[in-house]
Amino acid sequence: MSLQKAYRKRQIKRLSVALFLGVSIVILLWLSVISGSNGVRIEETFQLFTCNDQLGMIVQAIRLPRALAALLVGMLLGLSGVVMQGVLRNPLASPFTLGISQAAGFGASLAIIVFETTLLDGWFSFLSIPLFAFLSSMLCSLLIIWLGKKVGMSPTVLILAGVGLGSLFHSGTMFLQYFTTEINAAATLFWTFGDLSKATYPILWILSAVFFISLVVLWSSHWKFDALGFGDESAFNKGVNVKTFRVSMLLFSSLCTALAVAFFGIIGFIGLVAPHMVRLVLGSAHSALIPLSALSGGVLLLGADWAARMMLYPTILPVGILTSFIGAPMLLYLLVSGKKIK
Amino acid sequence: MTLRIQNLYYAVGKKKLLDAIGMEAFGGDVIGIIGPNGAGKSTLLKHIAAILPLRAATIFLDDSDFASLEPRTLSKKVAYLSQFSSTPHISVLEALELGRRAYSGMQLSHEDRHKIAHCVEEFHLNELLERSLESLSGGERQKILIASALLQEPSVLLLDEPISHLDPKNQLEMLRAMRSTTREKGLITFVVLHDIQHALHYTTRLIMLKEGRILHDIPTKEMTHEMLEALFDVEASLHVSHGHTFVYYGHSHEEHHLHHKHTL
Repeated sequence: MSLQKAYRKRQIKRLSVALFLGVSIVILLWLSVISGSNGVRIEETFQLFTCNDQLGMIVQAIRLPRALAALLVGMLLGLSGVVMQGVLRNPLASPFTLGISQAAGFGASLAIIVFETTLLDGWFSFLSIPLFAFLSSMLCSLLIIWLGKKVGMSPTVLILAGVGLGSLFHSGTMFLQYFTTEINAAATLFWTFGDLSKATYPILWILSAVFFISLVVLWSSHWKFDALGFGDESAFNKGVNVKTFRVSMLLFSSLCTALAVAFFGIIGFIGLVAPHMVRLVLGSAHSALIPLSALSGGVLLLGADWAARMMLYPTILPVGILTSFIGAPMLLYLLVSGKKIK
Repeated sequence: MTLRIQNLYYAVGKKKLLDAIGMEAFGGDVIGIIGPNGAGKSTLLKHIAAILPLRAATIFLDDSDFASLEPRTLSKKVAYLSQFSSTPHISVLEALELGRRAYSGMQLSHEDRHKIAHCVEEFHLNELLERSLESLSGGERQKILIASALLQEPSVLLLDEPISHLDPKNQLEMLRAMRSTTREKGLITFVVLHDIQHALHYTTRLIMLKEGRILHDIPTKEMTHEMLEALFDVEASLHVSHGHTFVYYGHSHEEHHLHHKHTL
């Protein structure tokens, strides 16, 4: 096969997957917008975004931001999953296994139990939970990196540090829950479920900005992730400043996760499963894996959120419960069926 | 082109892995590094590639000081093939592209693609381009790694036991390619070999390392059995037959011959 033909075939394969994911996103967005207590006919769909009647208001103020939040959070989690798995050379690396989600849970619990009810009120009270969750997640990431730097930034050390810190933050959360009122304990528990109904347009703007900046930064380094697949020494010889790259990429992926989790709670398995789905079809070349893992994360969370709203209708399940419920068997299926997960 | 290494020391705890290493190497040299296990052969290569910290050591390739170069600049001067590297799930084409990333980063230029096409022709890789590295045989994989390393257009090529997992046919192919490429491109090639027979046939110079020190640094043809005995602490003998030198360990050639006859 000539080189030109190989380039063309690769391009077609990647575009086909991108097209499939893109079409899935459009269909799922449409389903998310029209599904609910007030049914919509297909031909009425476009009017929903302009008209001011009750249904139009519901779509514009509730369903659309919720669907866009699912898409953006899914994409952010997919992106951070692929980065963590890439820089740590471990297929099990994800925001959850690195303890970043547990740290967010601790931050939110701290805000709910210690600060929000006693010290703060007004607009800051509304922001305090995501702010504390975000700061706590970033603190966890910085601690992982600091511990890693002490012993040479090896992937194994970073993962073990993440597992240890995750456990520490989780025990901190349980400690707080044990000594607080039942109402506050319930509030912290509900926060950890992962719920997209809190979406508002200002939050979506923040998430979009961080997503697009991260995508550009991460994609521009796609070849460095491929080089790391051969090991640190080989990657250095291909031109990668391994330690700096690992730290900066971990910080970026932590930022993506921390932001998503801070606003919407813990949503498990998307960051873990989305990259593996793409790997099974296209392999581990990060020029395709980075953007397409983001898209597949978006598809997974949009699909999960739509299912969470519809499967026990009129009861709406928090999406975090569903992603963990379907994510675990999905991962097991990928492990059994796919030899390419590496 | 001259590579100058001076003042190279390396220790882990109290154990000295490299001790007062210094040498000069020139374009066209194929330098075999031989020595017992733990002599510091791989450690020496990792220092030349600046993978391990150089500290007080200086390594100059003509006027370029390796200690002050960024990884991307270094990658254009030195290509290193590790003894143990993991295999990612990427295609042969993507592995070859990695060899040009130090030049162009995320977007390969027209010139890069031209060079990759030339390399594909030279190494007869057309049929493998779409295959995953994991699906290749050991010989094919090693060939791809060498091709990717040469796409870096290095002046110095470092090969750490490149033939240890290959069958005899692939071993010969690899060693011949190493020798001819070094001559044609005027490279300085360092190769760690365990098989002295191969070292005798395919290198121009030998560095004998023992306990982190250079025991001998000689043109290959000047090797004697005394040097080998001092290096490996084992009885050794050299015999010339039909213009080729053969090495025997443990007992003399005659004993070896007799032993061979008895076993037959």
